[in-house]
Amino acid sequence: MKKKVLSVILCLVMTVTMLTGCGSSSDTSKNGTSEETTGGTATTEKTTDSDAPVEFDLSMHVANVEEQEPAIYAICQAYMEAHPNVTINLTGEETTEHYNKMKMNAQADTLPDVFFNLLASDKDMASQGLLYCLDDFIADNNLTSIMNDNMVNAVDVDGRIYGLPYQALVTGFWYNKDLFDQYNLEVPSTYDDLVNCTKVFSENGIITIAQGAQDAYSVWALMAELCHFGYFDKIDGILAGNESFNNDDFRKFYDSLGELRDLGAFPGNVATSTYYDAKEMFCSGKAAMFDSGSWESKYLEENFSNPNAIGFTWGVSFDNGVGNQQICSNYAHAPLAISAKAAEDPAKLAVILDFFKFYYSDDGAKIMIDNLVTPPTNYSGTIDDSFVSEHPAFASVIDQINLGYKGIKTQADNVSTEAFGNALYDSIYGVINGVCTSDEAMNTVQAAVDDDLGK
Amino acid sequence: MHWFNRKRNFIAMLGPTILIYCLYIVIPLFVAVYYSLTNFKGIVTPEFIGIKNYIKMFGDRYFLVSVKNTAIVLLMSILVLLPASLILALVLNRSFKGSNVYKALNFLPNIIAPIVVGLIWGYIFDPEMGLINSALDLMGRVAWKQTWIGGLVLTPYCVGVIYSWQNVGYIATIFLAGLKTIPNELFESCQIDGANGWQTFRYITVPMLKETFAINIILIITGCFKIFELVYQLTNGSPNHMSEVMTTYMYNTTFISSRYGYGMSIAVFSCIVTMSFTLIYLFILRRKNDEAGGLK
Repeated sequence: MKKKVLSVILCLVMTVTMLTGCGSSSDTSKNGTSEETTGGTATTEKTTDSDAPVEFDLSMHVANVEEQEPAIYAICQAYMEAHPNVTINLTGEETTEHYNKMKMNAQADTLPDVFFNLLASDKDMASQGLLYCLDDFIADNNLTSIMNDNMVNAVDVDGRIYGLPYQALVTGFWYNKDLFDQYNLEVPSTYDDLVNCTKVFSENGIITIAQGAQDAYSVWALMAELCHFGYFDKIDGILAGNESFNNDDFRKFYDSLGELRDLGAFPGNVATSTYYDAKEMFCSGKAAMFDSGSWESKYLEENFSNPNAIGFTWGVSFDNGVGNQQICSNYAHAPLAISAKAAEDPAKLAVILDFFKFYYSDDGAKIMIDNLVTPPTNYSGTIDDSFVSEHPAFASVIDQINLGYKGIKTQADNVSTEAFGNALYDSIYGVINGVCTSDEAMNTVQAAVDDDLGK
Repeated sequence: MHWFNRKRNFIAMLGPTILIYCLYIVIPLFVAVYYSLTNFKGIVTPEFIGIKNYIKMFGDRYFLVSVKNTAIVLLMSILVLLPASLILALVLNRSFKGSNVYKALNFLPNIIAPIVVGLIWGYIFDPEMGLINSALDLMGRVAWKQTWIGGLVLTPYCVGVIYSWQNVGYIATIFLAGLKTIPNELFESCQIDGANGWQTFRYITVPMLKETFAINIILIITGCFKIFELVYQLTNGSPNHMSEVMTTYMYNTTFISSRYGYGMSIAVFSCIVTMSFTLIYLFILRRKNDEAGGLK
């Protein structure tokens, strides 16, 4: 068990090193080399001169923050406990409503002081001068020493940073070990294994991968599979209009999806199912795998009949893939941003930055881990034995991180506009639903690219 | 009465209403038209692009599907909802024990929030776990099972059925109110003249309900172009926008993909189509009335 504890610590340390292949060298020159990482940790210290009451708003993307985002809720509570003069007005709204509200607030220049934002919107808001630049904060607190380059630089607009990830986003497939054991199957590591598993599961009335097309964004693990076909080698050229999204490499991915569909890998009612239906399919033992991420650790541990049977995998590699097949989807989640208006009040800004310092410290990371959330920073503390044994699902995520696969740059839909992201979801679900051929699916995305280019 | 006829007082009385109407209906309509001529994406300052969005709209496969689906729902509602409501109103117009309870029960679906209606019918139409397919399974009629919702064909028809179910009590209530206004003497004189039930219905009831028909048809047309929550809850446009109606596709384009300019062009188109349908219907009705020298 000691070994396992060590591995947990190691894995969190490795969060930094895992994604090194994607980082730019220029960033390391600004803040020291990546090898220096374990040294610096932002700590909580008082930066304000007075104990005068200060309050700020923090707006999140879930309706019930305490229940749905317990980590951020706990961090706010801990900060307010340590700073009795500070009041954080933590509010939340349903995801789509939140995003729309933030856009409307941006138009009216009434953005909350601190808020969760979509990556694409964040960049747009930054370009309009609506956000506070975090370059000085990052430099002053040596954040690049405790965060991976890709985590720090997620919201880079013309070389300046306007937001920091609120979590590390770890996505992949959850699987039900009991079902694999029952049918004498190994958890698939290659596409051929997955095809074989699908055949066996289909014969026995088991859904291989639980998906819900009504929530079109719920394709995290499948988007990561697309990255096995040279996605990040091509995407800049595609977005610049020099290459086409409809290409032979990406076609292999969509053809594979089509093959899995034909073999019955996905639920028969995938079109009318939501992400939450898919989660229930998995929890009730009707599906062997579930496309999701580390954020479901807690829910699965509480709702799965045998929590020790839950496993997590990055997905499969492809014989006909392009480039490194040992890649993993561990990258920056959507950012927390500070509005430029909030920064006009020096007292408020000082408190917000102090809160950020706490958020991106070991203390903040510890609270996240306690709430089964993967922190965006490198955690240098220790984790108890009992914690690992009590949380088999989260431990499984950690085990995968420990494999040391190369982290992909960012989530595939985050490279451009929301329209591009939605077209990407449509292309994947289009093939799963049998509405599109591979070519039609790729053309859907290309049309969004053309639209963004004003063609 | 004289006080109301004075122009100044007349304007003073109507002013606030006109002001609110302009503020919340007319001005937003012009704002929507303006944005439909831009490439606005929510945050960055919009650029004027002329009618490019409108041209793109007619080459957009999913938009055309949403128009087709809206048309199917409208047609279904006219063909199913209107006659069903009239029949229901005729039945409820008779005095029988518990007729008031039936009236209330028939109106019940209309007071349920559309999102809940979508949820209820989702459990009925779902191809995997829905009531209909499960019942067909139990009956051994597996071949009759269909992808009622979430497929490529049947979803808009099912939406039409659900919309009809939800509104049949409401439309029937309006018909019922219309039936109550028909003087009883007309029916009595018909009886004396020896007209049978069908003839009474054909030559007395229907012509006397002309205005009620007009109101109901306009309500159905405008209602169909406003269907949103039902589809949003039932399929959310799935699979891949193939079950979208114009409002859900507009919402999806505007608020999910942040293509505000394009979304507004769909909204403007939808508004024009709804108004056109209503005005054309009213024009035809008025002309018929004029020709008949009857109701105006």
